[in-house]
Amino acid sequence: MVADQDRQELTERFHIERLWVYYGNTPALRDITVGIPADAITALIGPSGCGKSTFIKVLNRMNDLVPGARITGTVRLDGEDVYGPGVDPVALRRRVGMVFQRPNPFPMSIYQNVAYGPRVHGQRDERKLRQIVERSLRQAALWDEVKDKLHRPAMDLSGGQQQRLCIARALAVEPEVLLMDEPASALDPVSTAKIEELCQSLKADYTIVIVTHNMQQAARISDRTIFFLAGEVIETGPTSSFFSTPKDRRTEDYITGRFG
Amino acid sequence: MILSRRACALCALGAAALGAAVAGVNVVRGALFALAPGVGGMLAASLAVVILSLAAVAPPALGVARERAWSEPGPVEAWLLLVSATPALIVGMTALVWFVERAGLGFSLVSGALGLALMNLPFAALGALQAVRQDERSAGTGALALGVPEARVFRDIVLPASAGALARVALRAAARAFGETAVLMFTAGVEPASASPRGLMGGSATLAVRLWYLTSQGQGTGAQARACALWLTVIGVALALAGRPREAPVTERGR
Ligand SMILES: Nc1ncnc2c1ncn2[C@@H]1O[C@H](COP(=O)(O)OP(=O)(O)OP(=O)(O)O)[C@@H](O)[C@H]1O
Ligand SMILES: [Mg+2]
Repeated sequence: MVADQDRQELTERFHIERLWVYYGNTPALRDITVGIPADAITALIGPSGCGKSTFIKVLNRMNDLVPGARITGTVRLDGEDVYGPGVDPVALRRRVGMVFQRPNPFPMSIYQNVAYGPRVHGQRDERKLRQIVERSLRQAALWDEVKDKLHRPAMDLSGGQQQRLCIARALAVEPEVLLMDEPASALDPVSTAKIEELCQSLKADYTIVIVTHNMQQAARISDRTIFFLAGEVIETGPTSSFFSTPKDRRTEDYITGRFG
Repeated sequence: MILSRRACALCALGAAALGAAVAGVNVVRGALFALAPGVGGMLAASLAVVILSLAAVAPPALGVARERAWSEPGPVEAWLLLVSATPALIVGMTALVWFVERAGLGFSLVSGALGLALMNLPFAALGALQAVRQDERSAGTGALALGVPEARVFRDIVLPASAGALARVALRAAARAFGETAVLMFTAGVEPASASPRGLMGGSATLAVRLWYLTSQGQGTGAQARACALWLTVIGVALALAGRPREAPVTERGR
């Protein structure tokens, strides 16, 4: 199914096989088998309600917190079953970071927002913490804007700055994977462009999975695209060929906007 | 275990606070007798039962909020809503049996406070749950996604983020308790406090109960009734206004 020559070029970070997710008795994802390549950007597209957020939350087990959610099938991260008996979801979430649609800074200062994660994970050395905060804020392209007001409340930042702060916060715990669920949907074009640039600069070191409703955005920034429809994966492939020569009729309808 | 040590510390703190309240209540009562001639004892009784009942309600209400903070609203909320609609008269009679008689606390301010706590618990638990959930959609979830354990997230992020909303729930619960009569008639009694009180173990009419009693005796326009009504109105309205919900309705932006 998946273009095999492409699979050889990129090592897989996640491998998902025969995944079903149910809310109560209603399946939200049906028999998904798909891979997420390492050190690349994978875009998830599809109409509202098709299961993109459900899929992304399976990868870091945030779905565990949804009552009535149930999964079958396997999700492997670097070969290890994420839902295996010995896996601690709290430890997993540290490796698989997440950025949400709406910026959700902690009710603390900018500095504390970034330092919180490393501190909880055992980093007590304030000098090291300062280094981590600066590095993370630089990675998130926010340092220059906030370096003089690190101890001001994070809530005073603009929406776009808050979202980059949330990215910095996620990067501060040094995850291997960064999941982003429509990170730019509440932002203006300038902030959106900043976040896109940021993804590009991060992909050398991070596996990035980004949900987006914006087809141009998916085409611009991603290396692979996965198209969901009504809980199923309809098509997946390298982004360039995905958009230029979609194989499935439904994909073509969706990306050309002929879809309901 | 860390948790149980913390629980012990909390219990000790609670006991100390209770002790201080018992010791302080007579001092305060003396002051209130001077401040509100004629109804000082009732005013003191009102404040004592309200504050004590809040102290009793807070830990279980926060416990419910902590347990359910990350769950979708479900049967627990439905039950709390149902139970919080229990007529005060029934709560009062229950408290009479449980606290006044079985626990042997007699008609006392302690029984009254426990009765009010019983009345307010579902209301406060539901309020606390809604208060922490208003945050849960945002900052708390963000912390969980960093790989922070749930209990730590609740303490570090959710509680501070919802402190204002929680305080307003407490003020609303206080307003309800302050104006309550049915529960207190059965637990703290209808006798007005004398100038030589027996502390929290003694019974006393609160302002609201006294006003009800005077009215039922055809003395609703007398000087004491008017004083009761004035204090009730001023404090009740102040509590309700201070506790009015302020947070914007939760709306999910985007898709
Ligand atoms: N907590 C939940 N309980 C029950 N059903 C849910 C829950 N979350 C999602 N669903 C259902 O699962 C399906 C997939 O939802 P999901 O949020 O994954 O879609 P999505 O592709 O992210 O949509 P959007 O683009 O609108 O964000 C939908 O039909 C939705 O109604
Ligand atoms: Mg979604």
